[in-house]
Amino acid sequence: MSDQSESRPDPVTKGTEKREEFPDSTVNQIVEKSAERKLVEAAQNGDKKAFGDLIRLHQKKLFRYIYGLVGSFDQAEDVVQEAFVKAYGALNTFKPEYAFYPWLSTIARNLAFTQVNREERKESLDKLTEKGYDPESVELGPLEKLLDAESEKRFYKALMAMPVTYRSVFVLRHFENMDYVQIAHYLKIPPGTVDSRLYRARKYLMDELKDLL
Amino acid sequence: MDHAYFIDRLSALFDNELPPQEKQVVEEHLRGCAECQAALAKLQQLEDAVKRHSQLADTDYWEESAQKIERQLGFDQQTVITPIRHRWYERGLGWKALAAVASIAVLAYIGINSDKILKQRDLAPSPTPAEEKRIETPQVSPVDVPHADTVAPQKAEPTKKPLEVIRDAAVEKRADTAVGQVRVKDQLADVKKMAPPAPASQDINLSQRMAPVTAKQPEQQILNKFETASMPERRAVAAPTALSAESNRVVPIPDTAARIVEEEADNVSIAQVDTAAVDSTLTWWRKKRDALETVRKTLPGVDAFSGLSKMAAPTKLRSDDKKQPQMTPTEVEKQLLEAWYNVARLTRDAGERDDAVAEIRKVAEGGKSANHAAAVDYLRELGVR
Repeated sequence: MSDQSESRPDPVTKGTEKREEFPDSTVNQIVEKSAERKLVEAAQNGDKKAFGDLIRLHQKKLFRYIYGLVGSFDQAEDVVQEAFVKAYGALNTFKPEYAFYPWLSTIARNLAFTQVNREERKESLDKLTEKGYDPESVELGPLEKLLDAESEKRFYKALMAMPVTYRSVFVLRHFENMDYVQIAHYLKIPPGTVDSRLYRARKYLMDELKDLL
Repeated sequence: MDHAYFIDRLSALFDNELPPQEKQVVEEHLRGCAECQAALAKLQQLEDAVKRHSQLADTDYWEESAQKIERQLGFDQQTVITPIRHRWYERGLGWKALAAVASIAVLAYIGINSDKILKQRDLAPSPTPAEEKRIETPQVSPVDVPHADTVAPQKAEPTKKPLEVIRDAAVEKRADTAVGQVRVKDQLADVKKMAPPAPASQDINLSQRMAPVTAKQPEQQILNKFETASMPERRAVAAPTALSAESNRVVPIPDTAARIVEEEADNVSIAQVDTAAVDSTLTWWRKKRDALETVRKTLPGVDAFSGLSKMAAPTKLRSDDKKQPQMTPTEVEKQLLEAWYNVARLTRDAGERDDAVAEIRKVAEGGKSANHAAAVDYLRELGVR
């Protein structure tokens, strides 16, 4: 999987202006990718410290992504660790000219897939209509130690209050910059369903976090 | 189109996911609709808020997590900063626990195998008078050669045991000869040396005669099993007629039991002594004597026994048998003296006894043998100086 943020063209909306407010971001990405490629190549040549650097470079972003999917700190921790272990075992099959994180996140996503499906079966849209989303009832647990501000806790509580069917679409779109086709392919749902779920998820969050916007 | 339709499509427009024709239509509506423009701005604000508030803090958790993954991967621990741990096995308690377990295991082994351990001590031939003296006065000991008694089949033959020493003493009392002055008291002292600490006996008869045990050591408790097992043998000493020729099992006699045996040894009647056991011992010493005399004859250049011990070079007992260890002439002479002494001490045949005494006297009177002092001691013990 290629880097979605680069492959997808910017829309002709106001959001386009926001994404281009850092003119040197492309240069930074090139530098970062060059450094990451060196780390990957060194790790492939047996440099364990280089792979340790790759772990430290990507683990936080990967954890945020997987936690958004599975909604459990312990399960996210296990999935991330297992993903790095599997990536290290299959490192020689990876081509260094590609970005490392999309490959790593694919491994992690596949590991989390079972858990996501299990949670999807457990929850339903009926739950949303009957009880609504109550962020105050959400317990973040150990994640709270990784959140500095109250606004961050509010965001994650609101995110976790959503059923996984909406949360997964939102996370894949906003955390991983996936397009609708990719999300549909991963979740095995039509692209139109991705569109509608994403719309509902955004509407809910805008209502819950309107004072933070 | 309905305004609600455009509101609904703004999310896809924001993500640049609308088909080109639909995108054009929505954009045209957007230019003239302030509500839709505000809704689109809200989507952008939401995205910005997600970027701001979804970030996880930089804490020690990430380094710990990375190290955990590296440990799972089996990376070199030198490159990993491991936090200080205070688990019990890392504070050295593991070694202490291991030492305690090892101590218990050793004590348990001694308790379980006490019979075997003490049996090995009993299996060693009882010290002859010459050996006793050599222990006391090492400066007069003969040439020190590693013991390699391969002549007599010691494993198959009965060896001298503490109880047999007592029987030997009784036999000599019965013989009432001038030379039968075996020191029963001294040999019983050897029995005491081999005996474990004072027992906490469960034998009513014996316990009535035992001195009170002031302090019971842990080792004594462990050895209680062995002490209980030794009871039949103690009774056998008190009533030797119960002994049979097959009673070769060596059971160590505890200190108190040895004291009782010492007291009872003076009361042992001649009629109670099993002569079969004495004869068996005598037969063993005869076999050993004959084998050693055969060996002596095979030694080259030796025509007189007195010159035997002067040969320094080791001599093979049987040159065609490589499995047999070498034995020095001095050692052959030493063991022959021991065999002659025991034959003379045990036999009831006056002629056989005189022959044995004559052989010992040759060495004693020769004066050149390294075993001269031992021979003199043997003669003194036999009372035929």
